[in-house]
Amino acid sequence: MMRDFSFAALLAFLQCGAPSQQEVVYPLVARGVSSGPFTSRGSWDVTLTDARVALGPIYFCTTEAASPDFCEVAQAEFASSANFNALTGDEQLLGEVRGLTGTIGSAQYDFGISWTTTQNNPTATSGSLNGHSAHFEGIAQRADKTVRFVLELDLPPRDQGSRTVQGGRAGADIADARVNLLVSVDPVAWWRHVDFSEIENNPESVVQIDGDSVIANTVIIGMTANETPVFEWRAQ
Amino acid sequence: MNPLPSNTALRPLAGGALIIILLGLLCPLRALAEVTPPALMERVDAVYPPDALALGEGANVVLRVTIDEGGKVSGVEVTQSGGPRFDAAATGAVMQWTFTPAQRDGKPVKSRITIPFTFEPPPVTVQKAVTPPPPRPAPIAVARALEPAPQAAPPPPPVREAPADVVDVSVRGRRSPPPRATSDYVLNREVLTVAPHQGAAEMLMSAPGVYVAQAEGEAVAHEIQLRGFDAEHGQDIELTAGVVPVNLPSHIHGQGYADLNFIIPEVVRSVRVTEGVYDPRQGDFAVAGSIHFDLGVVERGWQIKTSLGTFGTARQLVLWAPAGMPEETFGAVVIKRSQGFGMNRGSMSGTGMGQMVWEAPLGFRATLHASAAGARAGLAGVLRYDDLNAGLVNFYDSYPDPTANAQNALSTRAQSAVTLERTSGDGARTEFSLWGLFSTFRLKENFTGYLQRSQQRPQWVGRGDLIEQYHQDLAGGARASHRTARIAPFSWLSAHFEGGTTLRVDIMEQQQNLVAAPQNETWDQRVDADIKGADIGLYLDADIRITRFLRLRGGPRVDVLYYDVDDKLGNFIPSVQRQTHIVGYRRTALGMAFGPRGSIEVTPFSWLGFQAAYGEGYRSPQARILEDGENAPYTKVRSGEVGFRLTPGGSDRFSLSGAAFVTLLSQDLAFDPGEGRLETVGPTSRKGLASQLLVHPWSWLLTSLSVTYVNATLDAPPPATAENPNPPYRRGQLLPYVPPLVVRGDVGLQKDFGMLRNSPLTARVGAGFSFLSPRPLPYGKLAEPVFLVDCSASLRTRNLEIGMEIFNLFNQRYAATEYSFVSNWATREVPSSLPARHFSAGSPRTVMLVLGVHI
Repeated sequence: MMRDFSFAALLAFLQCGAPSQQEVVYPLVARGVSSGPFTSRGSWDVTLTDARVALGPIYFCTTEAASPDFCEVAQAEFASSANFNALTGDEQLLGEVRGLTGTIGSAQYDFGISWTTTQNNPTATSGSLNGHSAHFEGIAQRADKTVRFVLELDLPPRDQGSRTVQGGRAGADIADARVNLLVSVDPVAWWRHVDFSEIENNPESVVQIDGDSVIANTVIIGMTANETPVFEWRAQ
Repeated sequence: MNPLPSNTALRPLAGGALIIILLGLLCPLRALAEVTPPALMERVDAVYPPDALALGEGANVVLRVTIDEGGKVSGVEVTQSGGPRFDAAATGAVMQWTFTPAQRDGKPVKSRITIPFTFEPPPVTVQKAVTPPPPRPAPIAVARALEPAPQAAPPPPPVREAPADVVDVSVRGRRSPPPRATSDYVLNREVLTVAPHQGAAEMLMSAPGVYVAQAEGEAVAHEIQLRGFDAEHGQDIELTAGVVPVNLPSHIHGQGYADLNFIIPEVVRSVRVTEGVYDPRQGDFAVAGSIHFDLGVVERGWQIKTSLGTFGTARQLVLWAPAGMPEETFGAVVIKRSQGFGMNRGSMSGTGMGQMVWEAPLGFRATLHASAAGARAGLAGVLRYDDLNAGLVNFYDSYPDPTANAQNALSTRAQSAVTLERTSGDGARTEFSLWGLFSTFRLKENFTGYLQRSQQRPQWVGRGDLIEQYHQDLAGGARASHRTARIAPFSWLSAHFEGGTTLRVDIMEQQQNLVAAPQNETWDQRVDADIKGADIGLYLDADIRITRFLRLRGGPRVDVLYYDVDDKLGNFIPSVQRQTHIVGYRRTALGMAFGPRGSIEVTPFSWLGFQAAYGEGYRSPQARILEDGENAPYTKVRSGEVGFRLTPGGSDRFSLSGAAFVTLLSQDLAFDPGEGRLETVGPTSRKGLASQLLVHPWSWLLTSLSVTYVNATLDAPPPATAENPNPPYRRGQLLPYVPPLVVRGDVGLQKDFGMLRNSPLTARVGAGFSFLSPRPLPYGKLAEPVFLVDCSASLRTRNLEIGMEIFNLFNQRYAATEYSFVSNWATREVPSSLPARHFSAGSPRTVMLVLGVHI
């Protein structure tokens, strides 16, 4: 034991200098920030009864530039995927973020479906929702019209080797591992611009919204551009 | 067959590349002679008379030596006197020589031979690093501390019972370059061969502070660490073999790329390792220092050595060093193959090298050198530690992937040189040399797996990051220098002055592509350039002695570098942009580097010396990064050192040296695995301590130990990039890849323990160990320490030798090199973009059986 200690002490003395970065690992949690009834475009009263979202992998970059060319080396990452209930404000543990101390300027991420450089097609990860990025259910009402709807959404990356969202907002200076990362999503904000008139005359008791429909695209724009997930690092 | 001419004034032979064959055809095997001449087994250098040395006096002495049937010297007659002092010195030395006696019809007979001694007044002080027991049959002459020993004669000429026309093998004293600082080591063959080494590059590990690894196979240059510098493949070390430079400027794989695989270790007579830049003769790439391989063969005759070992390794050497000719005259051929110690590591190589020395008109001594080498090897590449720990790969594997299995390298090199030198008795020396070389290099290597996207066709991605590099260099140069005779205006003041010039021209072609295995389809072009470069250097050097106690040396050096770059992919137009011009960018750049170098040596006693040295050097830029008209930026280095050397009883018995050093670099380079090239990291500094202990208490035992400590740090934040506008930096941040502590130890024993058929039976055992402390890696990671032991044992008679060499005796699993970077080998569902530790496996225990025939 004394020999091991002496050797360790010798190595510590020999280093005589500080590394510029250290490895850190901290938890990743997620929650929703809204859930109650709301009024969407076209004066529809909407209540979401189910909103589950798959998130990951997530790569945090030093630069603020929204280009994968400037994030070949990540500052931190959640190299996995997981899904969570976006209608509850309770924090749900998704996994661990691994990274280095230093500055984070942006994020790139998928919603459970990735298209890596070695894959010929987009591929659902283990954290997806039965192969999908998100699952929504709800009721929309206007005057005497009531529409029950279900949407299973796929958000694959546009190009092979890229991420669904590139240059997502994120910023932090990580000094050590005494932090955790909170991801907040607002499903109400995603659906607030949806006009259900497109499906109001659908005779089905529960309307399966098509993934290529205007409604689906409106939600996609909300998730990937207007109301992207918010990343917040908090000291533990 | 025609007998060897009885005069050493041989005529030059045409065709450097045919030297080996021609020598073999022209000269007879001694075994066919009716009378077998005596062969020198052990010799002792003559001690230069101290008072004559102080006065700068020299002389020639010729002795007629009688050798009895037992090989002992039974009588000495001075046939040409050089004065009582020199006669006594020569006689005293030769009386201690032993020979294998002459034989007639297989029976020992008494014989007489003529041996000339040339006492040449030394202009400078020589310190040899060690003087171990001489090997059989023709050991290197031992040099006493502070004196350049005149080179003893090579094996004597043909002997008749009543010698009449004895061959006068006039020998010039082999000039050992004087050390410029404490950390300036000359390692002669005894030191270099104490422990076994797999090649000439590995011999360098016997020098303090040097560590050598071969991480990329037999066809790629070694990685060399020297006193705080991770010189990669030679970027920070000026390497020469004879008069030919080894470094290749602006090489696609690394600036200053220096492949030492073409050097045959059996023809390395000594190695000079100059740690620091204190000599005006040091030129481009002398940032950490310089390493010079002195080529020559001490043991004359034929050597045929066969080595067979583990991993299907076989090596065949044929070496011929004609008796009666200078040590610099030899021819050698080596062929080697191996299946390698793991996946995709097979290799094959061949090298031929020859030199011839003869006396030219006007008192010049001419040397003609020619060599050619080629090698091809598979590359296993690197592995991720996390994949190894997860059991996805084994330590000596390569990734089971077509792009990983397609990694390989091919290299060729041919060179020739002619040197004329003349030394006069008053210390004046004139030298002129011309050299030319042609080299090719082709490498396919994948560090990062599947990360890259084509720049030419952005939709092409995931085809494997197999980088194909090609580099071709046709180079030529010249060197000329003249040192004045000794100038002594007063009895206590003397000086020599030297001026010299070097010239080098390179014509290079280089390309770098991404190719898809296994069809080698090119899917991206990254580099396509033709480069012409010229380097003209001028230096002045003064050597001033003030009494016997103080010596000042130094002078300025200036280099002018010119580059002409035809970058065929310059001004590249991305596919998403409209084409507004034709791709291509030709540019020229010129710059000048100037630096003083100097040293002071104080020797209050003959056994104690103190040295201080300072110098400024440079490393030329990678030509491709230069802009048009740019005043070619150099990496400037400022180096300083103070130290001492203690040699009680003479440096051949005990030597202790210690030095403290500082080296500051204006712009350092580090390896970028993503591009497979060196990239700029910013200014750096190195501060450290180096020490060496050599002990040679008895003729049969030699030990050496060296310890080098370095604190190598980055002095400013790395250059900002678009990806990383604020690179992390902490003052005192350690440089990656540089081990703080390097320890090296060697021990050798050699003893005669009987006779076998009138020939001494000699046993030899040697071992060497190397220790590297954990090295910092990029992104705050740390590499594992390295501890390796190599050993050897052999038995030798006059004509036969059998032995065993074991490398990595304890079968350590170690990394020849480690990196930290991002890669994706598709071994996990979600790829990581964090930098991960990667390694290239070092060789496991390797056992070689060696059988040698000496004629």
